[in-house]
Amino acid sequence: MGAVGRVRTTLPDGLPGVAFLCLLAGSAVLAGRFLPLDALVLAVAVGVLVGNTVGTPAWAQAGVASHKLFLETGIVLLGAQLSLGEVAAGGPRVVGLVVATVLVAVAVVELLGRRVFALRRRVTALLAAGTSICGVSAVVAVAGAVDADAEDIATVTATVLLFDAVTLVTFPAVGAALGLGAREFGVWAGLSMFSTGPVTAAGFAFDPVAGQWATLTKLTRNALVGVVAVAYSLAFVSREATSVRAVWTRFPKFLVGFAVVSAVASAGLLSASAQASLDSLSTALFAVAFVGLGLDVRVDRMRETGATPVLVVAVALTTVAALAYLAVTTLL
Amino acid sequence: LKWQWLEDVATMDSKDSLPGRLHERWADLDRGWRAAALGLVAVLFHVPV
Repeated sequence: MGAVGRVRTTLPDGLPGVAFLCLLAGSAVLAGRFLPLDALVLAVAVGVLVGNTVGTPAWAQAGVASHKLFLETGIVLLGAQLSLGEVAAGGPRVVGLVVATVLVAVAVVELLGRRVFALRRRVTALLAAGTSICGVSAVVAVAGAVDADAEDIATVTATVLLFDAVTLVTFPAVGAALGLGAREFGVWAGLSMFSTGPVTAAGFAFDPVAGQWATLTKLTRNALVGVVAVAYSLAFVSREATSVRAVWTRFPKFLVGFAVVSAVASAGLLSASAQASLDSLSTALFAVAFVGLGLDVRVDRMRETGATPVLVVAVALTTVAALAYLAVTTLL
Repeated sequence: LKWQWLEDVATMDSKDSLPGRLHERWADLDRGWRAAALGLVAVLFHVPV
C-alpha cells in the first residue's frame, strides 16, 4: 500500500484528525480574543492540556500526525513577509549591524547552551534561532529544519514569549534611562529584542521615529531567518550524512518553497493586502500545527529541561543588548 | 462515469483513476515538497495576473 519504510495517511483517514486539530485551534484563537495571551501560545496550551489529560482520540490520530505538514506550509508562507527591498532600504550600516548581531547571538547561545549548560543540540539550535532572529517564527522555521521534538519547540517558544513580555516593558524604560536618541533606540531595539510585534510596539512607545527604525531593523533581521534555517539544516544533516546526495535527501525541502516565496515577495509581486492575507493564513496554519505539537508534548519530559533555557536566553540577551548598545552609540 | 470519478475522489483507492493516481503520487511525495507545493499554490492565488 505505501512506500517502503514510510507511514502514509490517506486523505479520508486523516480528515477527522485534521478537523479535531482545527476545532482545538479555533477554540484557542477564540480564547485569545478574551485573554491577554498570544493565540499560538494558547494553541500549544490547549494541545498540552488535551494531550496530557484525555489524550488524542484513536479516530483522530492519523490526522493529528500530519501537523508537521501544516507547520512547514506555514513556514513557506512566512517567506511572503520577507522582502530584500526592505533590507536594502536600511542601508549598508544597519545591514552590517544586523548580520554581526545575528552571528554574535548564535555564537553566544551555542557557546552557553552546549559548552556551559550542556543543553541538547536541538534545544540550543532553537534557542539560538529565537534569540538571534525573530522569536517564535524563527524557532518554528529552525525546528522544521532540524526536525526538533514537540517538547523542545514548546519549551523554547515559551521562553522566547516570556522574554517578549519582559523586554516590551523594560527596553523603552532602559532606552530612556540611557538617554538614547530616537534612531539609536529604534536600531538598538530592532537588533536586540526578539519578536517583531514587541519590537515595533516598544519602538513606537519610545518615539514614532524610533518605531520606524525599530521596524526596519527588525525586518532586516527577519530576512536572515532563511539563511539561519538553511545553515542549521545543513549542519545537522551533514553530521549524519556523508555524501551530497545523502545531504540533499535529508534536506528539508520546504525551505526551497520558502526561498521561492521570498523571491516572489522581493520581486514586488505581492501587494500589502496580499501579504497581510498570507500572514493570516500562515498564523492559522501555525495555530493548527501548534495544537498538534501540544498534543505530542509530554509534560514530564519537559520538566527534564528545567529553567536552563531561560538562563541561557537571559545571558545571551544581556550580552547582545550590551554589544548592540555599544555599536549603535559609536557607529550610527 | 461521473459518479465513479466522485467515488474515486472520496475513497482515493482506485489506482486506475486519475484522482487515485494523483493521490498515490501526492502521498509518496516528501513532506517538505508537499508543504512547498501547498504554500506556492496559496501564494499564486495572491499574485495579481
